[in-house]
Formats: sequence, structure tokens, C-alpha cells
Amino acid sequence: MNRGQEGLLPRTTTLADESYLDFVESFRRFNFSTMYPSFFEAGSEVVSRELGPEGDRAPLEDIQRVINTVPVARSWQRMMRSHQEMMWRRTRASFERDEADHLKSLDDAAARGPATLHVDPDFVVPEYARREIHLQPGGYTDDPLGGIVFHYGTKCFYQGYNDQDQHHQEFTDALKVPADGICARILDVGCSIGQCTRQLKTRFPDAEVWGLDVGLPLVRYAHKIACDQDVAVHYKQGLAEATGFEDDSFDAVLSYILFHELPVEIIEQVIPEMFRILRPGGTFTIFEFPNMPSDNLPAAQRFLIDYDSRNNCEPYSQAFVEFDFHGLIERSGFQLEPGQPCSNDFLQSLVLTKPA
Amino acid sequence: MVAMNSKDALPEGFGHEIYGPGKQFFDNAVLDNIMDAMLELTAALWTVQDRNLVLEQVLQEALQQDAQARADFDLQARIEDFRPDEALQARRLAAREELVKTVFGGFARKSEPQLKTNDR
Repeated sequence: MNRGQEGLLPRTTTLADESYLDFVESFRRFNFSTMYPSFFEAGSEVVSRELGPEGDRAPLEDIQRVINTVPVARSWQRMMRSHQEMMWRRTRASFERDEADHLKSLDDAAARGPATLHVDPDFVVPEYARREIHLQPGGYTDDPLGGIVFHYGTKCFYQGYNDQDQHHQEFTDALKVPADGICARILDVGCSIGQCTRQLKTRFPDAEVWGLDVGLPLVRYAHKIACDQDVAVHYKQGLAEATGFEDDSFDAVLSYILFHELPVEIIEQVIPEMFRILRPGGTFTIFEFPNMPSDNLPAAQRFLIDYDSRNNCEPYSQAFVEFDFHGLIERSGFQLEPGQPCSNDFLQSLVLTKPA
Repeated sequence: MVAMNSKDALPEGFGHEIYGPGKQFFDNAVLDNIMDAMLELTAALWTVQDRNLVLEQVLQEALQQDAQARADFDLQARIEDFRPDEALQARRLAAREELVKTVFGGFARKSEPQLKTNDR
């Protein structure tokens, strides 16, 4: 049954699903607030004891070998993987019960507007994008229910603190307006289910706001929500590396945690593409994973990044962390400066400006 | 408008990560299986406990209605439709966090490395 919404968030189709997923959310919080610190402390101790004071810079295989001798490390890895599997299985099962009505509501939105959806029937999703990122079944591209499943799944990911898109509001508020104050056309690149896109329209009601994403299930769902909320934005299925937009046609672009989900060779095309579509003086605001050589990190954190890459289907994040992203930005012609800090201090915040 | 039929559109290998063979983190896969079973059992226990909390609240509201309203009362629908107030939400959260801590807290205890284990 359709149990309606809780503000911006869809409710699961049964109370039992809601209870189960609430449990998963609490378990995730326990994993981060209790298990991870214990893992980090015990892992760091054993690395120091077994590999010496330079243990943080030891080969990753040696770090894994000694950290895996600590019982809490094995338990933490099992728990991380298990709760993520539970979250996706139950979320998808819940919304599958209402599948026919939900898919019809996506189609019906097209007739209502005021948002628009732009899909090229000949568009081919590149293979690099067809991964089950974060273990989501069908990933971002292949499950027709992927939008609503992603929405509720990320409720658990954010541990309830983004139920009403509070995090996205923070990133939207941080978008840097060009120095001349003109912000008439804005792109949310890698928009997913369009949370920032809709908020950008609220912040800039007179602007033409676009959301672009490779995942058709995501932009279809984004479009439906925008229609439900009477927000006149535009969504398009497309590639960040080949957007199809005209040269110099946007005043500002925003991206939130897009780049670590892309192979480096694609990132090397995306930055020049953003340079091409921004007009002189236009800005590109980025919130993203950090970039740093991995042997500068504590051993337990190196263990974590590798674990996440292999066991949470983050196939491209490790290469991104080690990539010279800032060098690429500057070689592409952008002026680079630090952006506004955000509450998630793991993320880097950047503002890129196309010289006027 | 592009229509997508879910069954036809699903690619081969859909859901491989969560419906596939899974991952092993302990030397003995039975330990992985036992921990998965513990998680599912605790989730099931919470689901029952949570339904009780909601049921009590719904029944409390029903008792305050007149006889005719109670006769027309669709308990199942009221439970599913129920929207808890902030006080009940806080009780649910506290009870859930306590259950997680009680069942799984022991795993976070520091423990000595088992260096003789044949590790990956």
C-alpha cells in the first residue's frame, strides 16, 4: 500500500518495513559511533606494534594482514557489509509492492509538469556507469524503481539527518554566484534524484535550472517529485563528460559527490566539458571526496578506503582520492579557490571560476 | 515519455551484490553466517517490538472513542496509517538504540590480536 509521505520522504509500504529499516539505520549509527572507533584504535595499535613506527606507510597488504588479526576488525567489516545488504534488500522489496502504481505515477508526471524531462531514446548508458554503486541493486541506471529505492536507502545512509534534504540545502546555499551577480542559468551536474536541483530553483526562482544525470530511473523520479512540488526545473538524462549543452551557456554549475563515482579517464573529460559550457566569469562549485596520496593517511584509514572500494562497490573512489584533481582543474583553465566549508568535514569544498 | 517495464528492463546479474554469493570476512564462513542471522533476528525482534509500541498507541486512541466508532475501527489500517508524535518517535528511537547496544555492544570490546590466525 502507498502510505504517503513524511514531508519530502516517501514512507515505506508497510510499518514492518519501516521498523526493519529503522533498525538498520540505528545499527549503522552503532557501527560508526561505537564499532569504528574501537576498530580504529585496536587497528592502529596492532599496526604500530607489528609493523613499527613507520607502519602507516607499510604496503597495504601488510596492514591488512595485521589489522585482520584483531577480532573487532573482522566483526566491523562483516557488520558494514551486512547492514548495507539488509538496507537495499528491504528497501527494494518494500517499494516493489507498489511498483505498478509508482511507475504509473512517473509516467503521469510527464503530462502534468511544470518540470520537464529530456530523454534521448538513442542514449546508451556507458558500461562504467552500470555498476551497483554502494550495492544498490541495478545501480543508478538499470532498476526502474531505482529513484525511490535510492531515496529511502540514502535515508539510512544519512542516518536520518537528511530526511528533509537538509544536507542538500547546505550545498545549495553554498553555490557561488558569479562576481557580476548574474545567475540566470544553472546546472546541477550528477543531480541524482534532483534534491539540489529543486532547491536551486527555490534559491534562484527566476533562473533556468537543469539537473543532469546518467541514471534514467533517478531523473524520472526527480522529475516526478518536482512536478508534485510544482517546481519548474528541467531534468535530462546525459553524461557529465558530454552534456550536449551549448558553449558558454551556464552561469553556474554545482556538483555534490559526483567525481569519486567516475573513472579518472572520465573525470579528465568532465572538467573540460564544464569549462566549455560555463560562460566567462561562470562558477563551478564542487563538494567532493578529498584528494591525497594514500600513504599520508593512518593505516586504519587506508584499510577503510580499500575496504569501502571492494566491499561497498566504490570501484573508482580510491583512484580519485589519489588523483591530482586540482592539477587537472588548473590545466583546464579554471581559477581554483577553496569553497565554503560544510558540516561534513570529510568533503573538500572548491570553487572554480572560468576567467572572464 | 520513456516507459520502463521493470521485469523486461532488468539486466542479467541484477542485484548481484546483495543477492549473490556474498562476502566472507572471517576465516570460517559459518561465523559470517551466524552474524548475519543475529542481525536478521534482532531486526525481526525490533519489528515486533515496534509494532507493539504503535499498537498500544492506536488502541489507546480507540478506547477514547464511542462504541459505534470502535465497532467501525479497522485496526490493521490504523496501524499502517499511524503517524507517531514526537514523543513516541523519541521512545521508539531510544528503545531501538538500546536494543542494538545491548545485543551488539560486546563486539566493540577491545580484544587482543590473534596473530596465529591464518589471515588474508
